[in-house]
Amino acid sequence: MRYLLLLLLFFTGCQQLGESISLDEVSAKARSGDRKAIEQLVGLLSSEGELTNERVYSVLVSLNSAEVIPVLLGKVHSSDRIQREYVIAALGNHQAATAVKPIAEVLADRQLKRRYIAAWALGEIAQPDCVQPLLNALGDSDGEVRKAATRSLIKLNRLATEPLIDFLSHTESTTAAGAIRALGDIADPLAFEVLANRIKGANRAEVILALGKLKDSRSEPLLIEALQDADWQVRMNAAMALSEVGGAASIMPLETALQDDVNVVREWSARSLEMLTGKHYRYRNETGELVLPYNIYH
Amino acid sequence: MKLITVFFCCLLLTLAGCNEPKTDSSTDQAKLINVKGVVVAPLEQTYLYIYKQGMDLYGPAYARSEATGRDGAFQLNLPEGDYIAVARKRQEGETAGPVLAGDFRSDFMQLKVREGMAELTLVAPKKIGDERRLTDVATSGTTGLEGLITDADGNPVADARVQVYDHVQMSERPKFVSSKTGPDGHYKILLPEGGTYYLCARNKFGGPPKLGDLYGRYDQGTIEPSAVVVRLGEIVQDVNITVNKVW
Repeated sequence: MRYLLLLLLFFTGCQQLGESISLDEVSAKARSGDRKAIEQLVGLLSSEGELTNERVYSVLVSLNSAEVIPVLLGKVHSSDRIQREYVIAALGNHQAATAVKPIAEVLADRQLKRRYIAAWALGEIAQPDCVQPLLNALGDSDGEVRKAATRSLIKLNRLATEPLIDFLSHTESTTAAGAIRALGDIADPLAFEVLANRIKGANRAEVILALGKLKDSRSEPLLIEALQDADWQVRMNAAMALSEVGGAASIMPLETALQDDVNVVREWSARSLEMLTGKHYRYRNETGELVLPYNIYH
Repeated sequence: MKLITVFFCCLLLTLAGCNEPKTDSSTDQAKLINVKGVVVAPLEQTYLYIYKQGMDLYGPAYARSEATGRDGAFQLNLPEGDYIAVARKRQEGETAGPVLAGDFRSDFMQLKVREGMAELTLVAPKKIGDERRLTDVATSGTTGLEGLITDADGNPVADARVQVYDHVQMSERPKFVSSKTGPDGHYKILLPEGGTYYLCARNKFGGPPKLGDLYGRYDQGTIEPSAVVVRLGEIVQDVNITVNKVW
């Protein structure tokens, strides 16, 4: 009986190691281009693979793209959401141009979970045919998908400028926010008109920030006017944005905004005045003290 | 009985042989000086952090020792020079992040690393009270923010912390850090004053997020994070953050 127990202990102790050696061996074979080994690795990615998923994924992204992409493509539509997520992430890391269509299909299928990864991967792949699926995703019901789509369109940069302008010219305000944000970060002056046309709309707080990022002096009078908006967030954003595009004409309106009812409007006005003039401006904080704004760009 | 002993010895040898060899990270020690010492009482599982002059002493260190053993002893190799050293032991075993009440830390000490230097002795008493942990200190405060940390499936994430920055790059160390979330993923941070803040949530501390870490920034997909405006006397609700794996 004692011998039996010792034997059991021996095999239990080495079982974990055996798995470890096995994974290492498969990884080594995969690195040498063995397709079966690559398939084995992709097959290991699953909801049950919590302990191995990270290791397997690290190996897959380090493999030769030409060898691993065809295998990964076969699992883009996996019904296991975890496997699908890892596979799409790996395809994104490999910048697999051939994966755009199947990844776009996943992105468009609103029954699926974790579709944010599809939007993320299209931004990594960054091909012209990634733009339209990402524009469609700006109106997705899932906030993480919308956020990832916005980020990816920003990564696509000038490839996305004109499609975004066209999209924004025809879209409802509910789906416009992501496009406005993306155009702001891409910062192409071509976007000025389409953004300026929306400065009175529901997304005006977003539009004002985007206009600031364009650094186009044509925005200055629009932003000065926005300092009078009834919504304090719009006034705050206008004060922020004027630090980017403001000139001499902005100084007096910003000095007036130092007396705004809302603390953060006063604070951002002081900050922008300092950036525009190089002089220190104090503002009255929430406890009534006159203070200097701290520098947010450490 | 003898047979059992022999068998058991063989088993031990086999299992010992199964262990992966330890790697020595200091491959080029020609110009390095071995700094040794002990953290008394002795204090086990303590790390010695080395900073260069001028570094943020509460941010990432220039070098860190391995955890001390039962004897409190540590050693690490450093180039000759002038440094600042501090010993820290966090109750939760982490190697980075704020040192909280109940953790152990020594005073900062000037450290001149030279050939033939003496061994160091550090005292790292338990920290009592916490000036930076406003979530605990300002329990009666009325300014702050709260929300949920969720994963990509919308499920609450436990053991994550929210980091609050007052500058838009969110670099260096955060100004405030929440306690770890519980199973409900809820966090609440009380702040000393209103202002414009930038947030992220993550499950690890120290350095940039790494592959596999859970990380989420409070933003709308833009390059810069979204500003969260907190007014004095207001607890901003529903500042929810989704954390995803770093791919």
